[in-house]
Amino acid sequence: MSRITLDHVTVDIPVYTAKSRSLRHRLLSSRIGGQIGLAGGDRVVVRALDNVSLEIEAGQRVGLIGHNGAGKSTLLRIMAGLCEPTDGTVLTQGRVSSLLSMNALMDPEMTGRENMDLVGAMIGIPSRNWGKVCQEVAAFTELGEFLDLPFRTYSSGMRLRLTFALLTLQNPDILLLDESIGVGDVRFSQAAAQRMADLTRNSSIVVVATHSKKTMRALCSSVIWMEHGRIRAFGPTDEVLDAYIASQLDEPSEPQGTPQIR
Amino acid sequence: MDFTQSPASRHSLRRAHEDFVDGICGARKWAFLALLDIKMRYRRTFLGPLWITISTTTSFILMAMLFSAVIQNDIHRFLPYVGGGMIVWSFLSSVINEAPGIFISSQHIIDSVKQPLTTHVLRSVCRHGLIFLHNLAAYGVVCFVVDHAFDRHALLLLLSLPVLFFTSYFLALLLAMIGARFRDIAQMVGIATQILFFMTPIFWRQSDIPGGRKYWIFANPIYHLIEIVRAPLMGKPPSLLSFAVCGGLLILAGLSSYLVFLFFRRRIWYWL
Repeated sequence: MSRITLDHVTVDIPVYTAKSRSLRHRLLSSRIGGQIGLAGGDRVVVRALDNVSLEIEAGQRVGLIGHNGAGKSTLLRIMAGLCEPTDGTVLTQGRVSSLLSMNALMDPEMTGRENMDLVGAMIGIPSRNWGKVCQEVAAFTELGEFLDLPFRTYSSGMRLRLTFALLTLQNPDILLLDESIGVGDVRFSQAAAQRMADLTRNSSIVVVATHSKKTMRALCSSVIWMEHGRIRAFGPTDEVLDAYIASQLDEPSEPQGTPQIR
Repeated sequence: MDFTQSPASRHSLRRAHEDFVDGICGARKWAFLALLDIKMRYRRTFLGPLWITISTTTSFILMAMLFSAVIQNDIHRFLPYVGGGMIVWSFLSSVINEAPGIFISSQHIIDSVKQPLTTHVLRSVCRHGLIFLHNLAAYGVVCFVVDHAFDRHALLLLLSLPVLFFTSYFLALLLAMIGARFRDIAQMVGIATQILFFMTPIFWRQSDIPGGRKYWIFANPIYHLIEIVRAPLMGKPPSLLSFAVCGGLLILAGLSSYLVFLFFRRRIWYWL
């Protein structure tokens, strides 16, 4: 059974720099981002997640919304186990599939098929299943002969098709997706939504960070609204999204992410 | 598959230990990635990875010709010596030079797919190891041409090559961690390898230094690492001192890289 539990999780990202002082002043005057403070001495620390506790059960499709720098990506990274929290406990049960910066792994010079082998080796798919996975991926992407061309010749939508197919077709228990999910065309969005629905029916968890409210309403059963590295709201999709939109209309001139200095 | 993460030491130490072991055990992964690196580097070139062989053999043949003229030595005897030294040196120096930047240049992977952090270091060392083996084969051919015969001592390579590879892996892991946190390390390592190149008997012999000042050589661990591979190729056993130093270095590097990794693995992501 898949499950994600975060218990009072805090992530402080130190900003290492040769001139932390001057950078500190620059950061303090910026208007978006998380909270910035000083950890002893001259070191600048960005508090990307602040005492976050949440529980995601099997079968949930969760959307992450919030301003740039509200902590969405860091939250995904914590769930994926890419980084360890500065404070608090993360418990993840199930096989995680994440490709958070979508194109990061793909080598632009290699063909689609070679990239499939590369990603397969990275995520460690057993080789006896590999042939079958490859066929499924090829079918889902509908890329046809493009699979034998270098990855650099692909459009962003085609790239997304390939990465998404690789990510989901190995039936992960937990699927984590970053913003890039928005660049697909209508046909792809439908296929992707179908695929995610299938996954969650088999009691997987899907967590998607996106700015597109339309995507979110279509895909997610509940939404987490992040602000300043904290959870502002976590509830049913429409409820949270409406509140989020309302708050933006209320204070149009005030950026949501104004940093708080500790 | 399941994991628990927290700063509590029992969690973070266990995760680091698992990472350390899983990394080495995932040989299929890092060997595949290393092979792919080599394939990609020579993609669209006519000769492909044969370029590695060509560049090394050309340089050690020319260097041997030049230096046997400079120090008036017989090229037939000198070439196997220079060649053996050069291929080990080029392996060691490329591993050491690349090491401090490994985590930094793998950042895009570390930030998107969960896998043992040691994989990235193993990939780099394995890539240079493959190039080394490639060069060793070319070296064998050159030695055949100049009538240099290998004898039973060459079997010692079965012991000394693993020692060389593991020692350089542990050193690379250590350097990769330090290099991720302190960015000046890469520069210092670059300078150090340049100096070490001249301090190590590759183009000259340790007999060129008078007895009283041999400490210049014996205190240099790189000399011993080269010697345990080169001496068997030259048809003699490496000195016991060299084996002892390399064994000690292996244990020291292994222990220290393991311990540093155990305690600082959780910080690596934050350093990038």
